Amino acid sequence: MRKEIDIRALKRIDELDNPYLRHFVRRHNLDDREALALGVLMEQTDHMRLAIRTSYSMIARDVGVSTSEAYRLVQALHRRRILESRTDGELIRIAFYPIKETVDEIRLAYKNARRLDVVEGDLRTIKGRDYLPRADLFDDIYPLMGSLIARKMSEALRSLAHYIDKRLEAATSLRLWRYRVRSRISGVPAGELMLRDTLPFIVEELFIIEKKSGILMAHHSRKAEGEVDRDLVSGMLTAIRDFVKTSFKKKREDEVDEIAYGEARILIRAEPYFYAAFVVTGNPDIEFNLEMDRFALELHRANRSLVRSFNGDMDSLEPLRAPVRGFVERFSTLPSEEREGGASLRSLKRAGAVVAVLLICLLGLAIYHSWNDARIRKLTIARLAGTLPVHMYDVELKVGRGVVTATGMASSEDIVRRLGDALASTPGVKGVDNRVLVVDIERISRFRGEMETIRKRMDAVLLAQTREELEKIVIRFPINVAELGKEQDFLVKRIYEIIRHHPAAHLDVVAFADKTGSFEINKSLAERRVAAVRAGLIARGIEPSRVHPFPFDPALIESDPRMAAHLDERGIMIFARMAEEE
Amino acid sequence: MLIQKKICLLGDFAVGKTSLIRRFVYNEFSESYLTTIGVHITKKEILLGGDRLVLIIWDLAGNDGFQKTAASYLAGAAGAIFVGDLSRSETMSGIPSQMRMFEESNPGSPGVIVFNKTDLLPGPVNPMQTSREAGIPEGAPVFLTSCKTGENVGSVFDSLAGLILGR
Repeated sequence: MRKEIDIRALKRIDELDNPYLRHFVRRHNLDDREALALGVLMEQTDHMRLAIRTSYSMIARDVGVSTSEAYRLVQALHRRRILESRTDGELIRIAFYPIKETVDEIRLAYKNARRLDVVEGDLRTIKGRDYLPRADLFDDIYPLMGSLIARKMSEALRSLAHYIDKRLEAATSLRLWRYRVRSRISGVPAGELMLRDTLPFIVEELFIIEKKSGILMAHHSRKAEGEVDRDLVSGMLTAIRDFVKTSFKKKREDEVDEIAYGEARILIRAEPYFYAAFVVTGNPDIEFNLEMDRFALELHRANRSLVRSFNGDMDSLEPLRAPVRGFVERFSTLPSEEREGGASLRSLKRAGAVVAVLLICLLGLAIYHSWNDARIRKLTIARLAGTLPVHMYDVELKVGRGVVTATGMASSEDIVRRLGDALASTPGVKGVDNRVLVVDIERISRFRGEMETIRKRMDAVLLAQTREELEKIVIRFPINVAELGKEQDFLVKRIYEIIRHHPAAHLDVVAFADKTGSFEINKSLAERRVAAVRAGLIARGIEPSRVHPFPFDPALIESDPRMAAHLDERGIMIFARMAEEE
Repeated sequence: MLIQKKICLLGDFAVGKTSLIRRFVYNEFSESYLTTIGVHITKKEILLGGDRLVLIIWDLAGNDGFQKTAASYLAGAAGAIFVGDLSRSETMSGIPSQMRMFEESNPGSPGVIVFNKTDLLPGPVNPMQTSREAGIPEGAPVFLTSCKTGENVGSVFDSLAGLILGR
């Protein structure tokens, strides 16, 4: 029977999930039956809000105990001043004493207690020498990691130098000339054009929509129309735009200028009477933003009176359609599909061929060398392909007078050596200049991981030291004083000196008070002292977001061994933690 | 000539705005009720005296909480339909304020009044008397409709289209 009651009691308490109940159970160390009776009475009093008239037999029935046991339980709760029971005729009147704390405060107190348990656990771990002191850690790891770091740094710098060389070589190549020609024709910087080729984008659709009504004035799509009617799409776009503007705008001129979905983006440019919505996939460059601005502005300038007086007559909008179609067509092919500049590039190639023929005519010897070098190059490429797996190297071969220069990357020293051997053994090759570098991606990534682990351990060690040093400091205050005096200010400065070297550490500022004076007075003093210390730290340059004042809670302080020695003192202690240890 | 115009449907929740559109645009009716969230846009082309008039119909959510947003949705509308539910008299008394809100956004744009759900009433209804009781200003055309039977639904939109085009 006893067992049955216990199970029911626990189940009921769990179901109630009532922080007040948990609070009483822990504070007064209630047994299961008392807790159950308390839970039932809390429920019946609508969470301690009402006074009820009941009888011991009714309580006994609800709790599942005998009437005499119900009497004992109610009296036990009465003695602990949790509730007041009074005889009222044949019944008893039960009411709860008001409690000062709110549910949130109680929740916070237990949360803080749990947090302090964690901190205490950390301290025990650190004191148990699980971590090495910082100096020892350096001594231990530097011989292992130092040389590795130096070697990897050197390799990274060599790779960077090679990359820069390659770019400089490319500066005289035909490929860059192609960009220069396109740049001259289109007016777009060559760098932008290169970037556009690397990160292509496409204008899928363009909507010109009347600003107020959302009526679609002009539209063009690079593909066949989608399933949804474009008139409805433009209406919904306008509704979304209006909704966002009404709900979130801060300033009158704020506009929705982008809606993103998946890989596509709707970029919006608003003019006085219409707005243009460009549906774009890929990564539009900065130049395209200017193109959109220019297009929308020009469309407005050229058709101002038409769009201003638009009355729903769709035929009158004919002048808008050609520019809209033109814009979409201009930006609706991938760079590889060759846009403007292609014809000029072909002309350049033809001119190059003519010059080559002239050179052939004039310099027979040069022709021979050129032919021979090309032949050797083909042979070396074929030799490499037949000798080494292609995914292990990425090299460029240049042949000049029979000497092969290899530049690029390979996955290991062995591949570099074998690559050199394969080139040297190709028929016709007079010499090999092997400039191929080893780039081991896997090792670099592993190295990064190791560095991250070390960084985390370093942070942990630093934090442990900071915690230890901080816990030695107790900022004591004279009675009834909450302002920082000379002594307190000196200690705040010392705390600042400790933590300024550990920017990741957050600080919990906890106040304790002696037993004299009422709770309210002590609480007020404690909070003012916490605020004064916090302000002192912030004034010295610690970010406010790193300094967290703790609510005053004597029960919490009594349960914390770090502060137990200061129960009869008035002061502040500071505990360090990492930001994520909330 | 092809003409496009935006019109708005206003009214308290569950008066039958969406049903009115469904009956007009798709000739459908459903007994089940779905709340319109924010705005729902549909399109219907009608022929009027040789011209093709495309109505872009904005069905606004019938919820007072969205009033600020709804006001922005009204911008640029050429006309409006104000809908009330004959079986819930309180929905009619909201119409005058909806008319004022629309007039503020679109001065001079025409509107028509619709008293919907005639099929739910046992006897005939006097539209003029109902209008007066609801405090609706005189002058605007009033229609008694039933989306369930389709009664008068087409006339509502035809009448508004005529008013918009001044015919």
